[in-house]
Amino acid sequence: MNLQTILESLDVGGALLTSVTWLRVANLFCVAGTVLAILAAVRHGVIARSSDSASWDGKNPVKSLAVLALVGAVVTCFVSIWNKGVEVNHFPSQTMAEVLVMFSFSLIVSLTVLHFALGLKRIGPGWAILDDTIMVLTLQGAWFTNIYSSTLVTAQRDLPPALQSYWFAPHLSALIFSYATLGIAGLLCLIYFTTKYWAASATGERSGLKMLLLFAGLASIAWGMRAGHQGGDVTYLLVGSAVGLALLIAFALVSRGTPGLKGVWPVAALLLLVLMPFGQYVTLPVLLIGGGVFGVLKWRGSLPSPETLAGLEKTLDQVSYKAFSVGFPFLTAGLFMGAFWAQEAWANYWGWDSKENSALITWLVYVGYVHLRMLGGYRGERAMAVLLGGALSVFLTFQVFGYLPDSQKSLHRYTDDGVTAQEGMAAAAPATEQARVGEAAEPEGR
Amino acid sequence: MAAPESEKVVRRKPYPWTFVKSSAVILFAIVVGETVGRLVDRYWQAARLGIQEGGGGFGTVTGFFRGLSEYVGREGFGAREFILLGFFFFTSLFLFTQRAGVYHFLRSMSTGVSLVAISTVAIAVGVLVPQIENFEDPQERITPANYEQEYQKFRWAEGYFLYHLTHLYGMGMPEQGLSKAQEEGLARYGARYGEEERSNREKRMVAAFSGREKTAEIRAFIEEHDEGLREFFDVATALHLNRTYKSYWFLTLMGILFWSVFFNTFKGSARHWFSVQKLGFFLVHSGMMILLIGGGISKAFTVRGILNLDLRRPPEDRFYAYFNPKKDYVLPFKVRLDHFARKEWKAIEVHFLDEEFNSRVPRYTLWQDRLIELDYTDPEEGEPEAQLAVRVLSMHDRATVGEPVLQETYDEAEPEVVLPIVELDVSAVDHAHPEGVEHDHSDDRQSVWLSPAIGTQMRYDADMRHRLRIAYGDVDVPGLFPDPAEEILGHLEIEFAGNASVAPQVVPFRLGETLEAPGGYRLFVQRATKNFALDQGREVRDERPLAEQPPYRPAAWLQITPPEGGEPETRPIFDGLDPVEMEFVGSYRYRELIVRLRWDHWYSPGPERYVLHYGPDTPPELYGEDGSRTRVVVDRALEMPGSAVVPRAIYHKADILGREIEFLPPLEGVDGWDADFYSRDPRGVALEIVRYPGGENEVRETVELATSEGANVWYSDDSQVAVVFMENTEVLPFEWRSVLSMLEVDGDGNEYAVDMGPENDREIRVNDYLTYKGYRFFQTNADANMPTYSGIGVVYDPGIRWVLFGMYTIIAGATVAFIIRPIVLARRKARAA
Repeated sequence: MNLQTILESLDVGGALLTSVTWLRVANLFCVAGTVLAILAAVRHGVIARSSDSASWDGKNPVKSLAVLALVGAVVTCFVSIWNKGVEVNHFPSQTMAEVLVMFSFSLIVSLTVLHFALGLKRIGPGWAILDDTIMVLTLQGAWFTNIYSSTLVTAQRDLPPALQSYWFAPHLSALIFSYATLGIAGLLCLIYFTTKYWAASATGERSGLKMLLLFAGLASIAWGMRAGHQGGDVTYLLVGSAVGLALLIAFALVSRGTPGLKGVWPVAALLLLVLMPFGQYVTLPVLLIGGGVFGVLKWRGSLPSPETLAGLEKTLDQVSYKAFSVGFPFLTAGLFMGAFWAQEAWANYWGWDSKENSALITWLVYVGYVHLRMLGGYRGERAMAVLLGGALSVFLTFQVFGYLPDSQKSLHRYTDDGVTAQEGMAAAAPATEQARVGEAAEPEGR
Repeated sequence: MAAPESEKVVRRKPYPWTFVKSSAVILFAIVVGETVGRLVDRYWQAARLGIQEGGGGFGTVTGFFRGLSEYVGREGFGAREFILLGFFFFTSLFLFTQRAGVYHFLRSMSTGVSLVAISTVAIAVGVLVPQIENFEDPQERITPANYEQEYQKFRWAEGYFLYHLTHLYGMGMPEQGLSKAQEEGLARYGARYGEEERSNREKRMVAAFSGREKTAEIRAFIEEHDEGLREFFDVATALHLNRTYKSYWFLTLMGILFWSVFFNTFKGSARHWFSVQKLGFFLVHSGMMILLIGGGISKAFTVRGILNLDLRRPPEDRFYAYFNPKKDYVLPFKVRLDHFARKEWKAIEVHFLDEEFNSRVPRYTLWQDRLIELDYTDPEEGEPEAQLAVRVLSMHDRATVGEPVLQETYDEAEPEVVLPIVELDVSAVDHAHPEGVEHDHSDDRQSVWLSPAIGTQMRYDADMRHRLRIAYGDVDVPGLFPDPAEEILGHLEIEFAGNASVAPQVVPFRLGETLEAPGGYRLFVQRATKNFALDQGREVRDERPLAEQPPYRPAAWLQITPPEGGEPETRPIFDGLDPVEMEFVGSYRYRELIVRLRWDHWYSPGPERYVLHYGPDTPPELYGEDGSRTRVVVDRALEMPGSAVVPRAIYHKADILGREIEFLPPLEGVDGWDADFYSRDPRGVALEIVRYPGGENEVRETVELATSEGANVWYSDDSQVAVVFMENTEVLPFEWRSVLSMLEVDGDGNEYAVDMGPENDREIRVNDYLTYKGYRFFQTNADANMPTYSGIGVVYDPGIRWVLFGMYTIIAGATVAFIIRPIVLARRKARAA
């Protein structure tokens, strides 16, 4: 009895078998996992502050439930993808909606792998909080991605001949898994910079006024982006950015020569994160939560010691490198599997297509990171900033690629809705001006 | 043992390379590389020709020198050559004498990281600056001839990018909602085709409406910044940024990268390279070097292009290098197309005949056991439930469809649909019948049925020698022949958004004519063709007069001038292609004006016209355009030029009784060759159609359909639902395949086919190529209008195997370095602890 037969036997009125239904269940698990991970973090915090922390055995029932929810999300998301495959009659990575669900699945799989491989909670309750934080952020990322995917066109599309290859599934899976894992590495960078930011503020390395300038600057840019998006007016962005940049410049000027956070890396990294799409959904909340945690700790007079903070930063650096170490071989394999495939389809292992190039750029950024880390001894904020650059490049390759100038004639625009497919490699370039998303779909109810 | 004082060498501290210094040197080197590259380009191109003629092996070396010496012999050895030689000499001398410094530079971490960073930037440049068409051709450049065309593409791509960059998150972009009427229409659509279809349709409509406005804004943005964009384009052209990956500066960069990797890989003892600590990195670096070597070989020797083969044409040995019809490349053998076919996706459409939608109904691709549920109950009455279910029982690549059973009806109570019909026996090798019902036979003849009751149904001769239509009854037959002076090509269906409620205006058109259109627009008919064809996105113009062109795909070019006399728009329109359906509208300047082309194959110039006329009281006669008039006898060929057309039956009131469908078993090919794929038989499907499933009124029916006309539609008993089975030609086909043979010439000058095995071994398809003498042949192109044409990609690239080996090595190295190595080291550490 195969999985499909089992699922069919479970079918109640056909509703249970749809990919959409299973995805909703996966979303529920993500939300439940988030709540449980937050509760687990609180519990870990309490343990860390108590005298029992030294004898802590790593057990926390709430955390176990959170992990169970994570596993539940993995299983149900997998079933959703499986059903989608049945519904569209091919490996479900043809449309952007399908690819995004694959990405969210990869995020939670990667999280599961890292959770067990890193074993942070075994080190101590303090480290368990880090594990909880990663879980909260990743589950939220998966949930948000699923929600976003449902706003896209979900119609079945036939696989064009070029995609009917045994390379399709491994190439896509390797790349998407690597994007997810490297995305988690990016999240760790965010936690790192947030910690550094609030630690510097709370421990008095920077005055409250300076920190206020920095935070207000970032918030102003984020506000401009959000207000502009909702109001549909670019003026909000311009005003928000102008005010924000002015505040950041003021911060940089008044901070010259201040010990503690050296250089402009933290500012640049945070700015980069805010500018990244969805930054307002991820970066600012994390900044605010971080601020809240440090505020409470300061209020209670239980701020972590400089040694503890240094240890945390070092751990974040190491953990992010380990996440990178898992993702990078998959990125490499995914990139070159695309070349093997292109060689079979078009006898052209590298067509300098903009998607190929964007992926190569991402790979090179990470190659630079490895060299700087291993040969240049880069650690801490400089290494994290490069790693963050890699995450940004992943995002550009994955989501922004279609807007790049050379992408107009790319062969990799299969996921774009409304791009008129044409025959063969040679004639595959969509006519530039007519190929954009549904620009000429037919009106209904005229 | 310490060296004597006198022998001690004072070790100088190595020069401290920083990122800035390393980057500066690399940038300087690539500027020099580009300059020198441009100077030596002509010699290289000459040498390359020699290499290609050398035929591989030692011939490559001799070819290189022969090509070079021939060029120098032709052009002479002057000051330029002396300067170049001097440059190479002194550069070599410098590198030799300063080899320790160079070595140190190339091994420096700063240099390595700078190289990675600059390579990243270089590749990013190629993404941010659109590469010119055919940039893979090393000789392709921006010239006065293609400047404007390339600039137009460049400015659109950059404009599109910059517009989105300045509208991050969609801020400030137009967002169009739906009207109440549209939402109501969507609700009806959803009730029939389901919530997901409704939702997807809505998303597409919103994107479409917003997209049109957005396109207009992008155009305005581009116009506003045209001057700056043109300057940018000129700079990019001068620096070869729009052919980045084929430029000499990029080549130089890759060269430096290679040597840097080389010197960093092979340092220390060999034992060191294979230690657990280093093995992964050694493999990655070695793979990188192999990859770069392969890339260099590819750059030097690759030729690629397209070989246009046709089942009806003799074997070919010439292909268009880099897809350029002006660049013939001759293969050392000939290639014959033995079989070719394309298979479309099988699909159905479900129509509810009591409902009209402006949108086209969904087209469902079929696969075994697929269940399609439609026609939902009112959501206000509880969870919507499907009242119609279609399940695919079986699919068949081959079916026979009985000839339409026609019967002369004499009964007074005649059925509703009776037509005068003539059954003709014609040549099966015919792709030029724009209309008419056909049925394939396996032999070279086929039957077609023509009726005067179906509009202007007519038949085009395969040899382009005649056109034939049928007339019945009281008709002025000579009046059916158009006056040559009229020169009508067809009709334009003009729709103006300003008066959407009014039916489209249909007007005849002629070449060179200016028409007044609704909304005050003027349409000037600039050009027309009956044989529009594209190759690499460019039109391949049929230069023959219209009358001599085959009627494959008629097209016309209109110059549209707005009422206020603004900038005119030149717009191509195509017969049978709806600009809205095909999403052409987004590219229009004046999108409020939709023009559809209805080409008239009878009125437009073409071969001689003939009319077969008969009536209740008139015997059948063939009227020629030249005034000839001959008797028509059943089973005797009509007296017309061109291929024979034999009338088999002539009906006055034919009642179509239907067509019988039989699914055929799969054909068995040698060695598992899928012979079915090449069958031209109709495709078939068996469906289970259930009305009101699970309810009291459930009606279950098994339906067999085939893709032939008259056998492809099922109507429900209550005439409320129609299911249409088809091959979906509007999307990319399921697949297309060719079977090739290679032809060589023996010692006696006779051509023979090389034994490369049965069809299965000689078949190519997308993702499965064939190799012969280092040339790879892969399925590239096809044209739905030319079923015997197959576009074969040809590549000669001796670097492929190097590159692939390099890539495999890199993957292995990365796996060892980042996954295996940490595990092994951790275990060792644990063991030691």
